[in-house]
Amino acid sequence: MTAPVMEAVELTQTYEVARGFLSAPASVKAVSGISFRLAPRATLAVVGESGSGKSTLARMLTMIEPPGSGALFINGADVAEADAATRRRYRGEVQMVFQNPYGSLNPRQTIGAAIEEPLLVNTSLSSAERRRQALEMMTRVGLRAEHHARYPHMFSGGQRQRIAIARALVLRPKILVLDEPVSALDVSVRAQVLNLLVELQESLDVAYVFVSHDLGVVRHMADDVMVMYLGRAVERGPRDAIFDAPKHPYTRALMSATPIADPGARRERIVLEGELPSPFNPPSGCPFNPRCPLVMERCRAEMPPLERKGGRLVACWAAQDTPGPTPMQRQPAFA
Amino acid sequence: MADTPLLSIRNLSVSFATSRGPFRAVDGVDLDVSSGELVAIVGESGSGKSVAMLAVMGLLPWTATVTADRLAFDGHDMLALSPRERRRIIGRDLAMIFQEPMSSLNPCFTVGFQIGEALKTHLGLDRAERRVRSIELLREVGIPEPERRLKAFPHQLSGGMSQRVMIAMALACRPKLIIADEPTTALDVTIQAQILDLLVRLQRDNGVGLVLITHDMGVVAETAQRVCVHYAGQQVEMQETAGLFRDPHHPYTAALLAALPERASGRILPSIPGVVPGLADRPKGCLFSPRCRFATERCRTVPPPRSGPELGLALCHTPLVGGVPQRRTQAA
Repeated sequence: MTAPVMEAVELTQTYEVARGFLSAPASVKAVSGISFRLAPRATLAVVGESGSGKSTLARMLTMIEPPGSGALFINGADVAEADAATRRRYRGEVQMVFQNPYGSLNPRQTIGAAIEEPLLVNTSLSSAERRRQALEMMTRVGLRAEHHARYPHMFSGGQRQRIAIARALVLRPKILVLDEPVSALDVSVRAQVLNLLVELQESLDVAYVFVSHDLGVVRHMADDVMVMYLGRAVERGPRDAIFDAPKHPYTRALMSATPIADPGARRERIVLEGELPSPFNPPSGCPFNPRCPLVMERCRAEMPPLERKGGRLVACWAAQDTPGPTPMQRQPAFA
Repeated sequence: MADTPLLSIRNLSVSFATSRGPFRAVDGVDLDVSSGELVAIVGESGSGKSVAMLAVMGLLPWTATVTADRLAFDGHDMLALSPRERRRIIGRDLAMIFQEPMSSLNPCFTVGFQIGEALKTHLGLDRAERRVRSIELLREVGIPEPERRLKAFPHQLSGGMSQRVMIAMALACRPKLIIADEPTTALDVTIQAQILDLLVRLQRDNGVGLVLITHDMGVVAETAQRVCVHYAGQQVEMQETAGLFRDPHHPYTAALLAALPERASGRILPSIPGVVPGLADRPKGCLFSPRCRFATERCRTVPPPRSGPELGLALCHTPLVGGVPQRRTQAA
């Protein structure tokens, strides 16, 4: 395996939340003990529902906020040990595309200015050179030169996401963190943007951390998949291992709950009861135990470690070290 | 569908007065829904799918002009009703579930009060009866500890819980038809599965007619019996669900299905170029022609005719059979 462009070791983030004037502040563990290695030009998909800590993880990876504990390595160097100037350089290596293209662009800034701004801040290029690079990147993402002087409101959602991608790539980063990049887009436009991302990854040699809740999109884009639940990774491994034979009961429930666009597919559906527990007082033991169909006595007492089982890492006492799925209670699908 | 359908719409059009002239958001839509039937309306944003159903409910603003050859619900002509008569039907026999549960509930009132409103207005229940029925409804939609939840305000509920409350409100007077506008779009997949399960169960067990507006082909495939595909305000195709996914007849339906990552085989998805036409750039002939890979000169100049039911009522000059455009031989 080639040297990873990004490596996370036990990243953890805890937030203090004030609970009124007299009560002691509560702490929320938004992300806890996340580790992974990202190879150049590879795509790691981070999957999870709202409240699973995906976005907090994305903020730590892009150095928007430092991790509470744990370490982040970029090109093999520890970010925490770097001096201010070096850290500035690292920021150029990791860029981000946000979920909502209607909120992430300044309505009073032209597209050209938005795309040139990273160059203005991070480089000492002349304005002519900045403009040249911005125009080149706009062409790459499928925007035309005359769009340079226009404002965001003149663009559709898909085009805005292209602008956001151009802005993120104009510094030629090695890593792009995409936080739900296509979830706000219509199906036909979504396919256009996904195709663009695939093309750019090949032509610009960039690795993706692809945060999404849409398993169809993840299966299409990812090399590796990490499934998160309440701030923890419950399963992580190669895409095919996870999609063909998910081992963690949460991953299986997530997959069975995702509707498939094929009415002929006879599927079994696992309907989870309840909702994500409050992160203020997570359940003891495994965080998934109150909703888990395979729950045992041990799950309520002890946190399962992330262990290698059947070609991927999985944090579950009930998962077995066999390649096939384990038997469990299932309900028939609709109709 | 031997008996008269519960909801019957013929040639429904809605146009909005804008500063740049009238904009046709819905253009000649037909729909029949019977009791116990689940019909899905699919389309991208701007396809007019929500506006068409809001017109049925009579919830459009005054800038909208609604015309139809027939807009009948349960024997009532919805266009001829006075507002007072309409209000007696809406919320009782005909209910709607909206997309954003968080913003559809009134933040100032408790859940119990908001469910009770419909019970008081339509059924005239007194306070004690309302309480009993509200608890029963919350239990039916799967809310734990319903007695305690009656006193909860919307901000104390999660998205999934709020949507259940919305469904409970829609069910309050045992409606004959429910229109659900993207009921699960704002929710996580595991919660989406719970809500869809609930809606399908209600439709199957209680014989409620259900119109499900969605953009998610996966949701359609797993729930609906019949599907209408909308594009730029027009109904471009209508078929039984299995047939639609097996052999789509309109090129837009075919392209939409091909663009789904889960149905793709290669790394590059077959995407549809361009975007849905807006007010200014509406093409002259077929509205899909600028993006259609089968478009001919005729498609660009002459509006397409409606095909017969064997071709999914496709609004197309050359409807597809097995992915191949067919020369039209006779008018349907």
